[in-house]
Amino acid sequence: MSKPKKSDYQASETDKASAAVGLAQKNFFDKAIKPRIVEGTANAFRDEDSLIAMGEGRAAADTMQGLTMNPNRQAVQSINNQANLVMAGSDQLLQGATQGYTGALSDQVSGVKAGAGIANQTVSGLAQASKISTTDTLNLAKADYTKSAGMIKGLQKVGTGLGSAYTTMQGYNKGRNDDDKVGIFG
Amino acid sequence: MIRGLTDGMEEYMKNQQGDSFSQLGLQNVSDPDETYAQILRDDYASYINNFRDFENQLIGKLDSTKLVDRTRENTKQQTEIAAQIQKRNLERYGGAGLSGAQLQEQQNAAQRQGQLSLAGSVNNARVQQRQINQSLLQEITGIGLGVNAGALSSLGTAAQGEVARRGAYKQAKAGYSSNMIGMGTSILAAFMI
Repeated sequence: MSKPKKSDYQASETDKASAAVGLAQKNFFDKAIKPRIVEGTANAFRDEDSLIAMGEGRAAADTMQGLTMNPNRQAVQSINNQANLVMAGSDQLLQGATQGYTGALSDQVSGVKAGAGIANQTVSGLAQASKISTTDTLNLAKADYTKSAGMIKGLQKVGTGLGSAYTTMQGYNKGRNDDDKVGIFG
Repeated sequence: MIRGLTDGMEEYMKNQQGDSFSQLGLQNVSDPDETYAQILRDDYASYINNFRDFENQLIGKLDSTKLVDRTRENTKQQTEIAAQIQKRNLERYGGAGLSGAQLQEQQNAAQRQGQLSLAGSVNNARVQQRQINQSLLQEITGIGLGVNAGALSSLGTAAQGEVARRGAYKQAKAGYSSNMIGMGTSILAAFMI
C-alpha cells in the first residue's frame, strides 16, 4: 500500500473544462444579459407616466377629432353636445390611461420576475455550496477520525505488547528468584 | 469496437480543428469551490443592488390610486376643453339662433353632465384600479412564493448540513472514547494477566 499522491486527486480535464465553460458563460450572462434585464426593468419603471400619457393622448385625440370634425348648427344648438363631449372624452381617457398603466406594470412585473428568478438561482446555488461545504467538512473530520483511531490502535498494540513483556519479565524474575532460592538452600 | 471508436475520434478531431476549445482562451478555474462561492456572494449583492429597489417600488404600487387621480384631473380638463369648443362653435355660428334662456339651459346641462361624468369616470377608474391592483398582488404573490420557497429550501439544506455535522461530531466523540477505553482496557489486561 503506497502513500497517496496529491496528483491522483487533481481535477480531471472534464472537470476543468466544465468549470472553465461555466465561468465563461456566467461572465457572458453578467456582462451581456444581466445589464439588459436591469436596464429594461429601470426603463419600465421610468416610462410608466409617459406610457400612460401616450395612451391618454391617443384616446383623447381620436375622440375629440371624431366628435368635433364637422360642427354644424344643429350640434351647436344641442343642449347635450358639450356634456357628451366631456363624457366621451373622459371615458376614452380612462381607457387610454388603463392601457398605458397596465402595459407599464406588465413590463415592470416581468423585470422584477427576472430579478427574482436570478435571486432564486443564487439561493439554490448557495444551498448547493452549503451542501458541498458540509460534505467537505465531514470528509475532513472523517479523515481526522480515521487517523486518530489508527493512532489509538497503534498505541493499544504498543501498550499491550509492553504489558505482555512486563508480565513475561515478572514471571521470569519470579522464576529466577525461585531458582536462586533452590540454589542456595537446595 | 475500440478500433472503431478510435477512428471515429480521429475523424471527429479533424472536423473540430477549426473550432478548437483552447483557442477560446477560457479562464483556468483553480479552485472551483471558492470561485463558486464568490460568484454566489457577488450575485446576491448584485441582486440586492439592482432589483431590491424595483421590488419595493412594485410592492408600493399595490395601493396605487394613479388611475383615479388621473381620471379626476382628466375629467376636469376635458370639461374645460368641451366648454371652449362649444364657445368657439357658438361664435362661429353667431350664437346659432339660441336665446339667452336656451344658452343658460345649455350651460346648466353642461355643468350637470360634467359633474355626472366626473362621478361616473372616477367610479369606473376605481373599479379598473382595483382590478389592476389585484392582478398586481397576484403577480407579487407568485414572485414572493418563489422567493420564499427558495429561501426555505436553502435554510433546510443548511439545517440538514448542521445536523449532519453535529451527528458526525457526536459519533466521532463516542468512537474516540470507545477506542480510548478499549485501548486502556487492553493494556491493563495485558499487565494483569
